[in-house]
Amino acid sequence: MNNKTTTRFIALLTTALVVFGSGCAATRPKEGAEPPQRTLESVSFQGSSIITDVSDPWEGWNRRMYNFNARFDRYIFAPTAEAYKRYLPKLLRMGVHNFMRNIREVMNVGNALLQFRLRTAARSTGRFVVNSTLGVAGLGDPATLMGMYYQREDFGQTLGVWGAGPGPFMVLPLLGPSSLRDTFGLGVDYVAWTELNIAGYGSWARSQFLFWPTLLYAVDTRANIDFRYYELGTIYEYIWVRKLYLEVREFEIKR
Amino acid sequence: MERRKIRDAFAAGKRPTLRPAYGILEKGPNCGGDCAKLGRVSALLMSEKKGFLVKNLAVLFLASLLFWSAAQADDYGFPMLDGFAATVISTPENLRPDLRIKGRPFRLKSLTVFPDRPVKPYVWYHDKMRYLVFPQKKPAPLIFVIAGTGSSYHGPHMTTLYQAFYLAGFHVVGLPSPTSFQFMMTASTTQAPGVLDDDSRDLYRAMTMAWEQQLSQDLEVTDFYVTGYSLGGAQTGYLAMLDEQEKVFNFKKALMINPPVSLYNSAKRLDGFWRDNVRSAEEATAFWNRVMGALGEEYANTRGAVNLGPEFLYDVYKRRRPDDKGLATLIGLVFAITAQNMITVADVTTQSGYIVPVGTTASTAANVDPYFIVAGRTSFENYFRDLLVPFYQRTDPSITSEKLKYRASLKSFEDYLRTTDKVGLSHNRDDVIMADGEIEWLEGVFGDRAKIWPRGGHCGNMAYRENVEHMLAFFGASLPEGR
Repeated sequence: MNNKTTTRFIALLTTALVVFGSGCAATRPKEGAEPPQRTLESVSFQGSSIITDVSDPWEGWNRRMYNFNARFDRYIFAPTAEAYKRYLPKLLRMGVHNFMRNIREVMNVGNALLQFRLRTAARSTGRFVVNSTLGVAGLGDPATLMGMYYQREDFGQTLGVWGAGPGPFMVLPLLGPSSLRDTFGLGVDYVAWTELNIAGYGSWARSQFLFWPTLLYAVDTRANIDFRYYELGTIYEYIWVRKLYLEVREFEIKR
Repeated sequence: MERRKIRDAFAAGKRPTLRPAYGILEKGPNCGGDCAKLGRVSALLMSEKKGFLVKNLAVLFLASLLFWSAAQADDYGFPMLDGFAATVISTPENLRPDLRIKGRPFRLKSLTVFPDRPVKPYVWYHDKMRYLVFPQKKPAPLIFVIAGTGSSYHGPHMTTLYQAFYLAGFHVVGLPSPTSFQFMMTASTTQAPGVLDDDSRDLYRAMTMAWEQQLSQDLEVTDFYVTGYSLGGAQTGYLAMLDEQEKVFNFKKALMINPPVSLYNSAKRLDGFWRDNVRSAEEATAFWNRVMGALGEEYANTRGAVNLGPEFLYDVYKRRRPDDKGLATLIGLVFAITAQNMITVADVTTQSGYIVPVGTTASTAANVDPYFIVAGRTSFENYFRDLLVPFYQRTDPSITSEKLKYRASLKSFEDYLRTTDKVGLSHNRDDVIMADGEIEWLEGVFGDRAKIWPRGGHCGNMAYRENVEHMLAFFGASLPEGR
């Protein structure tokens, strides 16, 4: 890793977290309250639980952010995605989805190469070539029919392949669960994306009214994620999501 | 018998064998090893040695008897999975009817059941009871669908029911289980679920309000029906009885799908699947890592998008052949997660001071790891004995644990179930949540209103073609042509 950048990034992040995360406390039992009938000692608990034993030093901030994201999702993001699915014809939505995936393919190729996953890189390159031509600028996805399936790769995964652990768990505003490693990876991907400016798409998108292509990308992404905040059915949703996010990232790194 | 065999083997720590003559993917009548025998016999018939023929006629006769009995034991086409595997995998895609629905014809509704109950800021998201409606455009019968333990209005089994009934022409209204987080917060009187009559009354109230305040405004309904699976199945029976007195809906028919007979017994069994197999934090860690390791490897070998549905699970099962102990532990874990939530929420809402000290100020930002761990190590039995019974005794000191167990069981309204002709039952011989003799008890009570499938585990065969057809036929309906 580029140490200077990382250090600066971590420093910035830590400052932000200390500012926002301060005042995060444990639950506050009332003064002089009776201890509960069942405690850690009475359930003879020693050692750690695999589910809670996760590095999460900024839990207060993370939980607030999780809750903020849930509100945003419930009142704005999810209803938008639902309306998008309900009122736009599937063909159009598929076109948008394919186009967005196709334009991102360059990131997949780059990261696969950095991971020395040459087969994946070749497949993603093949997809880009086929879909950009036969698929009419990526609106269609004939490559999948030809057996070249889509595989998302990002720099967080690349770092993982290089041996970096996830580091502390983080919940990013609007973007959701992440880790220090993946947040850093996201930053690198973003810089690469801006610098590469594939087919002039990035600069074009940024010059549009309300950045609508980026908003469309966000809605398309949300419409394809089958998850609703606080619908997992457990009051411990944050703890389960935290663990499952980290597990799934491990899956993606191994693939 | 099959169930007993599996369980005994399970108890002895052995891996029970699936009937060896059948591949697990093979469906329908299958002569297995008998095919070869029949072939040999017919070859003998052709042979010149006539003396042999007579002797071998007997063999042929025996062989065909074998063949028929095998075919008869097996004219049910659900895959040859044992109860544990069927519960985990459920029905493979190619054995389901085509239940796809065009577009998104559903509406998510919310209902305020207790206007005076303040919404707790840290559970702002459960401010109202949410339920899902699939309305028809023309007058149609309406069916209420009740979710299983811990489930909200969504989930794979609920989806099967929504789709099947919607395609068959019903308005479908899906309600969360009284044991679900959202129902406990928004529609439960006691907020400590587990007693069948009280939970069902809560459901009935919510259904009535939903109908009177919301649904009656935009739906034209010809008749009312109700169904539910698992715990929702048991509540379905009680709702049918309650409706005979309250007469809000005058349900024409009610179908109980895989209900427990005794909620307490079934919960104890499910608890045991997890707690008897995983006795320490180290074992829990090992189990978790084993499951995650296997899933991770499978994921790495899958191409493209991975759908964690029955196809994927079936594939994994065929490759890895997990033993029943592993599968049972997994089923137990899912139940333990449900119980963990239920116990915590009931403890906080009833201020029982069982896991969370009385008067604790909750906050969104708080670390709750200790409560998570303690609740995870609290069994349903503990919940029942230490929280539910004392909670009920607060209002009625004469209540005992035995009385509550009885009220949490179908036996508490056996007379009604025995005599009514409205309520039907669909169950599985190898359902893993049933204790010894409970299926037989149900057969006795329901008589010819009971349909007991030879296998399918706990709700594993709900989406199987024959089951869907049977379920719809019970309500006098069927899927459209070609599905």
